Amino acid sequence: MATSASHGQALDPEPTAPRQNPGGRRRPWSRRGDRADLGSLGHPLLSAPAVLLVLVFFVAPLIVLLAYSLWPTVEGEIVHHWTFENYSRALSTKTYLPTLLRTFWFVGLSSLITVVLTFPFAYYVALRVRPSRRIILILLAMLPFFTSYLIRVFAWLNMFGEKGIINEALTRIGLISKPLEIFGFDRPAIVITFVYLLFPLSFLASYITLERMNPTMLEAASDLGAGNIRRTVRVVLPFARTGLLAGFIVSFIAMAGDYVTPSLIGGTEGIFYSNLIVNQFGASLQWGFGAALGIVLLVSVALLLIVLRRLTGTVESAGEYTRQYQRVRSPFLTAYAVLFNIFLYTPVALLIFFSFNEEPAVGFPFHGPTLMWFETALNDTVAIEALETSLTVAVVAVGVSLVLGTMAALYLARHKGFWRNFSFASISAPMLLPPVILGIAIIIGLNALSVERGLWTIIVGHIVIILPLTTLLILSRLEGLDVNQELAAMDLGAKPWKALVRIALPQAFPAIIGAAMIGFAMSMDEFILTFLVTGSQTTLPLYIYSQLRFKLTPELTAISTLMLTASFVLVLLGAMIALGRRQRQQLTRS
Amino acid sequence: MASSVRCKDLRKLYPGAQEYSLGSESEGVSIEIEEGEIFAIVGPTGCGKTTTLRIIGGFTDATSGTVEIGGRDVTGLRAYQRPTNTVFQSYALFPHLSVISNVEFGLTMERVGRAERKQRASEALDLVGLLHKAQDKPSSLSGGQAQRVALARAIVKRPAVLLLDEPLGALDRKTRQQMQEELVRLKQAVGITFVHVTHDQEEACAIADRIAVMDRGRVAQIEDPVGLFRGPRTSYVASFIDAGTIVRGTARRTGDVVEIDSGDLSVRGECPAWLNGSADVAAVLAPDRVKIARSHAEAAEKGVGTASGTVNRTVFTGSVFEVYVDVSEELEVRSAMTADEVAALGEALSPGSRVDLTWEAKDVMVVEDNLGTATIAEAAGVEG
Repeated sequence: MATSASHGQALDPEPTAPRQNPGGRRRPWSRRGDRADLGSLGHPLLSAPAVLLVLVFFVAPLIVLLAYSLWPTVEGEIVHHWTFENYSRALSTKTYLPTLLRTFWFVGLSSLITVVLTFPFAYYVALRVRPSRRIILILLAMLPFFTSYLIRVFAWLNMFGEKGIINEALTRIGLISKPLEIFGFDRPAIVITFVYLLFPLSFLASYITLERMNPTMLEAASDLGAGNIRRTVRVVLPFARTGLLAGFIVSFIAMAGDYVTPSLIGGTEGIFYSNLIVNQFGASLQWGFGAALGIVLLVSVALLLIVLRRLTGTVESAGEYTRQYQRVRSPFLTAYAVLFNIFLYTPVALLIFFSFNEEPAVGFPFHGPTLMWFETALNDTVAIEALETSLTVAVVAVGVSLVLGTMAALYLARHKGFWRNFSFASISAPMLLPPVILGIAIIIGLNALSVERGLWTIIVGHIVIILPLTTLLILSRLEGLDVNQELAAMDLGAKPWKALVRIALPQAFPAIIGAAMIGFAMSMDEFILTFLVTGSQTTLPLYIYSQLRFKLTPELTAISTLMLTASFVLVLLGAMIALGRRQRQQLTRS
Repeated sequence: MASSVRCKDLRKLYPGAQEYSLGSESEGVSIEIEEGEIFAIVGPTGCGKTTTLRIIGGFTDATSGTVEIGGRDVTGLRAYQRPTNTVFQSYALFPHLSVISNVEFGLTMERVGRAERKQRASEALDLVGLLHKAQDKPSSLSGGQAQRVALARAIVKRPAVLLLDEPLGALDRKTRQQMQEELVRLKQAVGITFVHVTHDQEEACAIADRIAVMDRGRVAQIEDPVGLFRGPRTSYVASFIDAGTIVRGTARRTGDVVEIDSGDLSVRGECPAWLNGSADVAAVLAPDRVKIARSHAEAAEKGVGTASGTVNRTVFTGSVFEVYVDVSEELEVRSAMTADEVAALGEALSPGSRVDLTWEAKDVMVVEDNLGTATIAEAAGVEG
């Protein structure tokens, strides 16, 4: 029977590759199992609450926004009379279209730089670091994301600004006589700031893709004669292009909707398209026109995304998570990783340092350690109240998002068909929209219904922002589980819901914790939407913003040090809970 | 003997699929599995063997047809309501539970009391020799150990039928052979009916009481291992189980005798009773029944069938020597020989030498030739 193997193969072209699908025949039992047959796992109604929430608080406001954009404003009042007037103004007036193009050019460039700069680091972590150590680097990269967005902007201003540390130092030693203007619109510093702000998201997007890249593929490329550069260009980049695109898109959307950072950094010059939109809802009260500007932005972003997706294409079956890594010395990548972390942590470190400085202005010289700024911060009743509001919003928004998101993910992970695709598309749609548009849509929607804004509008807005990410994080974990485990549970007598509770949920637990942490951080830090939809409530970021408008005070550095510490403890705690299992498994494995 | 599993007229058309994965428009698949036997289902990828197993296990519904287990119709029942348990190809152990908790899982679902649960799970683990691993996590197990735990988990509920989906596919050869022995031993110990799906006909042969060979959604033949190897009914079956050299050509029938001409070679064999009226026939020469003669005279004296050809190569399989002889452009005949026989022939077997082959008429297996034109190349590939 010696040639049995070759005989078997002659008839069975791929006996050892179950993922292949010879002759277009359907594999009845692939490793991931057969989703179509698992109708009993996860009821379709599970995704209904999340879908309903998105429809009511996201789709409906957008429809109202569209309607408003077709109504003119006459003497400060919206007139219900259909017209394209707002659009012709938005597209013809000299200010608006050039600003849109300038914004896209600038935001696109910054996003591209962000993706390019973060890629080597993501590559290093995913392919050169052993799996048990990766988590430390991931946490390190993600930690800045858990500190205040606004304060991070100011940390940079603090370094590069007209009266920043660099200028002060250079002036003092007599190298320059008048401050260098590094900050300002179209200046490199604003790009640096954005790169800095968007690094965690972009890193995560690249990392998730690269984590699934089997290093053997690289060895194969070398074996076939590709040098380092050609290997990167022909194998690594094409493989990772989905992740790179995702990183770019996430950065682009976050930045295109940001009306704070540019104006904080660039002053009057820092006018982005989003600023023009928001202005229509401020003093000028041109709601219809503002709505039209919003729709123009929405459509432009959508068109850009479609074009980009067409250009890059998608990678089919990008592989599975692998624990393999390249055991080679990588001095350049290591150095790069170190430099990157210095770049990430210098402003943060300086902030912490200055929060202990007695000097009433933030900066050098250092007058000796003091805790007085912390005392001021902790006695600041407005700040404490703002913190309480923020915590309330975050806890409720994260709680609701987790419950709805987990329910939806359980259904989405194991089904196909129209309702599944519809649910998936609606739940993830808010991610593709700059939050500024969601903000004005909610304002307009509430206005149309004559409903007062309040704490609940902030909570709802935050849920709409957090829910997609929460759902996707939990979903990706559930999809990574071997469906056969749930089938095995049912085979052993577990009813479908029991298989879910006993087998799928416990394994999705780390993802749920992770989603909770990221959601919490996002909510605690959300400014762009909150600023628009708040009634009279002040959240912590709103408070920080109101303070920052005047100047960066030592009290703010103390607050940010406290927030950073709290985030750090939270992240560490979450990591311990979520990773406890895996780590224990790793210990037993070795 | 009582039948344990009775599948009647099964068909499966997956939603969105063009062709049936099991059965066809005109005909369903029917299989009867007897109580206490190891029943193997073999066939290449996509032949419907796994679909059959899934239908028996209740993981998927048949498009039509019924399944009875122990005389009871279970067609509409879900996996958790059926007296079957499955050993999955990927083992599907629960990574977040310890080995013992994995084994206990089915009993927990049955609400068996804690003490009895522990007792029975420990016994099952002991049966597969892994009691010392009870507290470990599945990730710390080797492939063979994980396989044993999956087995223990499946038999602990004492199912009427144990379903095994390519359970040994991921194991190395030595562990696989060990596990094959263990499966047979286990079946004797627990007396459960085993339904074993595999694409490895050797494995099926080693452990099964009966084997069903499947081909593109149909059952091609059901037979005990010896019967299957000594009496394949079609060239497809003969080729899949590797029963020997398949000689295809034009056939002439005179009474009970069929003569198949393939180029210079002519093979004469007895026409089996079941082969009536079939147009295409082929002959199968089992390698151990084809002998190499020292001289032409010896060949004429020894066998009824003879052929001469050129030695292409000799392959040592670890137990026997297989000599491949080119008889014509298209046909390569294989002969299996012992070390002694090879030594006796000596230089005569060096590549390029002319040799004479002999066989007896009773050893020629006449089969229906259903490989078709599409697979002629593959068949040629198989033989040459």
